[in-house]
Amino acid sequence: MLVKFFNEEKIEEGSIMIIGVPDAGLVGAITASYIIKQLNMKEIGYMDSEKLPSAIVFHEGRPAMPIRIFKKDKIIVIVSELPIPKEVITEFSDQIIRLAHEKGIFRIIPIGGIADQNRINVEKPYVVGAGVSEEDREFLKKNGIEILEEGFLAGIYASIVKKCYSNGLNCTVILAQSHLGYPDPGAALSIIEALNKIFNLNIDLEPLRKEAEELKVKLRELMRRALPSVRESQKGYEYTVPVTYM
Amino acid sequence: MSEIDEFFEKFFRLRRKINEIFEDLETLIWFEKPMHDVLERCLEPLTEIIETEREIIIRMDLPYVRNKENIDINIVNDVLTVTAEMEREIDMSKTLSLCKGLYFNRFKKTIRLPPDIDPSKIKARFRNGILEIIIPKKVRRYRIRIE
Repeated sequence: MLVKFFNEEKIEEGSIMIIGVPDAGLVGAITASYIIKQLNMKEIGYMDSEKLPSAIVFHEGRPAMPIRIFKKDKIIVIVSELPIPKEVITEFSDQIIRLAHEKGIFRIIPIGGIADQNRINVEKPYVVGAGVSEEDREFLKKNGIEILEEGFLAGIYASIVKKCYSNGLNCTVILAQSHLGYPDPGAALSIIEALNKIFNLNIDLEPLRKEAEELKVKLRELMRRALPSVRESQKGYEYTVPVTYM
Repeated sequence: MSEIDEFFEKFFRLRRKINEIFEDLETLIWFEKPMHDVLERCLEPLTEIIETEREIIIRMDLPYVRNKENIDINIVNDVLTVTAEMEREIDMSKTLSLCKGLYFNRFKKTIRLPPDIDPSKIKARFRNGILEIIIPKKVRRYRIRIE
């Protein structure tokens, strides 16, 4: 997988790296895109692979690579507008780990949705976090985020977590209860609220609240295309009770 | 049942099965039909279908649909049709460049149902923008006495 930076952009040591890809309810991608827009982040590079679909996005008439890297101060956001196929998961997570090492990233924060059938009955989705190191778990607890005590994590974020675990990197996954097959801006709101609290981002939630229904209409096609890769990435494991629990 | 009747029943059952297979295939391939109908000016809602032993649960995401009075659910023969009026017209020209100047103000979805359902016991509810239709299956249950 190719990682390209425009103009030798310097990433400050000790930055955090937020990662959002289309997953359950497209929560990761909606949240990351909204953070980028609200913080007016600068696009500093992109990632690409021959195994990704031959598709390119146009924004305001300009071409943009589907997986892009943004920066503001000590915050890096990596967002994908295309579902990551399972053949690309390993090379994507390998590059994330390499980048984190090279650039001295302090903590990797994958964000997304955790599909829950009960989401239909819920006004405000809950947020849970999974921490790789003891330090990560303390960090989540300190910020009032409930810890995923038992259960599986599957798909692309699981691959990142595994590699962080074996490479001794800090990583906290932050997930909001979400729909599986419908775009879920409500779950994205819950994650941004949590990130606001943790990092004092002061991101205004109102525009997303107002746009929520429009997003749900306009992201239907992407959601439909993302679902097969969400299923392929063995998300079903997230409903499974691990054997050591029994 | 005469042999001719039996032949036609089997024939229609087979034809229905083939139609279902093609409908399933359509939902799997990438080059499926778009989720909007320019002629009818309607959008296709995202739909989940869950089949259990006793029922079929259909869920649809209907943003901009405000209440149940704006939703119409019909079953004619074995085809379920849901239409829902949106609160306002949606301009899709920014996301669908071929739909320049086109506005959509309703959702429409048709689903072919299996024959073993009980239409008189169908229930529906609309909550938080999601329509849920629960279709019970006709359960043929017999108790066998052991002699």
